[in-house]
Amino acid sequence: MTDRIADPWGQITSLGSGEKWIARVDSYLDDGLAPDAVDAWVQSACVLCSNGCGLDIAVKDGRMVGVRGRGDDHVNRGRLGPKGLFGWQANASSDRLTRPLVRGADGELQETDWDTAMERLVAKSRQLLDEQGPSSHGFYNSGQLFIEDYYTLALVTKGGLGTPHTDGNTRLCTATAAQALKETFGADGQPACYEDVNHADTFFLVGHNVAENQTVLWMRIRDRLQGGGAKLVDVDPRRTVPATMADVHLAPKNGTNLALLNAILNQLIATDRVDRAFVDEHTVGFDAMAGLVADMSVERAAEICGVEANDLRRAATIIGDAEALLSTCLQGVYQSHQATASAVQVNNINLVRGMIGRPGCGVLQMNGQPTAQNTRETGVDGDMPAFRNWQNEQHMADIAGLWNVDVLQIPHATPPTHAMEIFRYAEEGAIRFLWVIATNPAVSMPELGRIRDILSQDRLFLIVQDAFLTETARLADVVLPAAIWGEKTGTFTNADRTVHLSERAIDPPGDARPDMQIFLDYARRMGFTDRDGAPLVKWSTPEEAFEAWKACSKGRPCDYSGMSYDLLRSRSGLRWPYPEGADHEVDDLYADLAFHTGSEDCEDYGHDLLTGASLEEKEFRAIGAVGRAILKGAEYTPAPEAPDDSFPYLFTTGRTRYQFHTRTKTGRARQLQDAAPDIWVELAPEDARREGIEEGDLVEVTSAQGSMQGHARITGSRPSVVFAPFHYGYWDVGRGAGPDGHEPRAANELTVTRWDPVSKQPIFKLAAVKVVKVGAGDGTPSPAPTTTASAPVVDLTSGTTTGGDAAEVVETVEAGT
Amino acid sequence: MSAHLAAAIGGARDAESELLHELRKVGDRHVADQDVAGMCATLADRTQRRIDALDAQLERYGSAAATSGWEGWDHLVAGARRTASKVTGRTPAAGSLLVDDLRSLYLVSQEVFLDWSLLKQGAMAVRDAELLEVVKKQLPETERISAWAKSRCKLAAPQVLAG
Repeated sequence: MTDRIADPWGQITSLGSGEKWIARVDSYLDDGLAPDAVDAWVQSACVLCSNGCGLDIAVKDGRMVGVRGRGDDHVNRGRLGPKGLFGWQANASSDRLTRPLVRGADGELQETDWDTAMERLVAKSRQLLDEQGPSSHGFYNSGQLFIEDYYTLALVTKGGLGTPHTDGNTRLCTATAAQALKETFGADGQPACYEDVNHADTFFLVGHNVAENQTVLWMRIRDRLQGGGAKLVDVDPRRTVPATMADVHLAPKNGTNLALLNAILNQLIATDRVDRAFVDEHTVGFDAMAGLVADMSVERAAEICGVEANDLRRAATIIGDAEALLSTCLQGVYQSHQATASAVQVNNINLVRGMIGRPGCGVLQMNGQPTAQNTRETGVDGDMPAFRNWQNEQHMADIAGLWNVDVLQIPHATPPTHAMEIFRYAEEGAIRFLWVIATNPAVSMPELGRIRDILSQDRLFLIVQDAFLTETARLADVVLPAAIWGEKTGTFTNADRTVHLSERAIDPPGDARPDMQIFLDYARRMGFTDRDGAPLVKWSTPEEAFEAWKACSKGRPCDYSGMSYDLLRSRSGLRWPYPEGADHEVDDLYADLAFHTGSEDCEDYGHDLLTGASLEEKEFRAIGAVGRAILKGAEYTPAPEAPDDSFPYLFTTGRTRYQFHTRTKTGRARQLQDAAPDIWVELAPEDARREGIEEGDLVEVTSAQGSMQGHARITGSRPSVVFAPFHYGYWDVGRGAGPDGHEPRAANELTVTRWDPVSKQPIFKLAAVKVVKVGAGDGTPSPAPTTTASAPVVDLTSGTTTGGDAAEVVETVEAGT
Repeated sequence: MSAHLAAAIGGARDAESELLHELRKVGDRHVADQDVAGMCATLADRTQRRIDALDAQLERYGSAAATSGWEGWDHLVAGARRTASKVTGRTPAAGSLLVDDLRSLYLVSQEVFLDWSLLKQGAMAVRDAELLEVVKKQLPETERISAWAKSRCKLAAPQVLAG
């Protein structure tokens, strides 16, 4: 038994180069329940990060009682992280939403039945369609639903209503990953897969605290490092676990990623570590890209980034000498300044080294959420279904044909509206009907004061569909109770293209309904029809929806047409593309080095990486990629959020291992909540000294946008960087949608309304702030975990993160190995 | 050195001055559209760099760097514009104001692009390698401003036109 709060990764199972990862099955059951006392083990996968680890849900007497990893699943080989082991307990929370709510004449939300709630929102929807048309409607969904939910939503909003305003909270976590892949390879789709870790000899992690955010992927990388012969270069301003194990750790100033990456690329070129034959045969744009980075010497970058020039040289040497390079990015890139240009530069580094499409070589542009990949695929996140190109008339005609609607019904005068613009349209009164599904913008969006103002407007009709009464739901006109993971059947795809079937294990509480059923009900009541007058949506079960999605994906890069529910049941995890007639998985997407850069095939014509101006077809054709990867770049420009005398520090937000998002689930799982119970603020030792702050003191952090308070943790992050986790809002401290006149504690009170010009992903890693001590601590350390990047620089006498008996997990290592 | 070419450089500089004014104006009028305000500021900085490059060439050609009337007073009204745009930015009129402003910004940027294109020809015609080098570096920059203004204008237009 292992306390998997104190030891989040469990036993090491050393992984030598090219070996198969030994299975280690992790299981956790309620109250010492014996495995043979379980009534049923129901096939599923974890939905508490983008890793999507295969697991079975234990069911007894109609309720969930535990989970067990699936040893045959290639994603996790049986392992589970702390969130997967303990997060399922949230399903049984006593404060689940069980009945619809509508705002009454007295201004309060009151319980009602489905008919009343749906008729109220349908009446409003019809009224606004008459007054203004579909552009009055916006939909802001999630990275937590299933393919079946998303694809139904795509059809209802694009084919039924015809509004261009549908996006997901995936805009906050994964938009840059998708965009960087489109810019370089012509279409979304993860080039590498997790088995590449087994074969890689060099890992290049950029802004990706994998040990915290994808614990099971880190187990694999850690085991590979243990197995010997592999090197690690880590870029992170915080002293993360990977940073402490890295051969070179670069801790750049927030907002300078592009200078650092341009310098590494420049150094690779200058030291002749370029695979010229590969570049000539499989890429376009090398000379222009080389010209862009030519003036970024390691010395210049060292000064901009605040790192040692020699460390940059060492990093470039390790990357340049790699024989199997696996590079990854996450929010440190995606939520920072020049996000897309930086993520693309990581693609470029692998391409100029010729390291893509074979075992151990590739790029993992990571996702944040478990089903983020599917919002991208189904087209409810600012894309078109199955990676179709909004500027390609044939692609639009194909969708219209699939749905049997007129092509003009499908909104494609512009790219689908991104989330930041949806909120902007709501702010100016152009969107008056906003339906928020399985996400909590009142805590997760930047500049919360502004977001609360927008969501509270009388002229905005707000619908919130969720499992809990979130901060956002408290502002709604109608609240719809949703069934969640384990209570409905569906499929979803992780960050390495692995598709899992997740079966319904238990009944939803009360009157809660699966999201897909709610969308179907809306479509039925609105009377949406196809071109022949038949109902627009032809399906009523998840399996039928999956079959429809297969037809939509057929022939596209994310081809699911060879899959079926039966096939997904017969095994554990299956990667796309899996076209009709397929008999094996595609592990490395570009093993054939045939990229999706033909103008008829590509998902996007790309953008100017500096301004975000979108290219048109003839400009894209002029690049002449036709199947080759596109090397492009941008010059580094300083971020506008620079520290000054009033706001001398740079603020950054992030996750902590034990919580997810706004804690709607993890905050209701006691082991996870106890491990990270409340907000904290991290400071480097010299900054703390300067401000007279000690461990545990109450501090206030203020930016031009707002302020928040938390207890100080003195950590090893680079000087002048202040960190706070973004998970903590107001639902569990007795407040409403916001601080309600008390001390604010949400990190996003401070963040700025600014986004990357290309991917439109908001920038959470950069706000100029000041830090003031507002109260002395009583000697108690801050509530920050000690087992993460939040580890204190000095040993604390108390407050060490442990889970005790309640967190004991059985780990069974595969026999005979 | 050709007086005609010197005049063309001066003409390009005048057009750039007007563009700089437009960028500042549009940025200040749309602070609620953060991406527009932010990109206008970025592009204004780069426009100032091109103006400096043209001034250096004008000096080579013996012409005084002209100061057009635009540059002097933008900062005087910036505060008022920003304050006003915080209010108008929260009204349904915001969209059409944005489309109008981006449309005129695009047209001004087109003049700048054309002027630099002509300078390129002039530099080739008089075999001025130094000027040609400057133009080769800056011409794509002017095209980039047009591309952004058009792209952003097209993003905003359908919501306004359908409303």
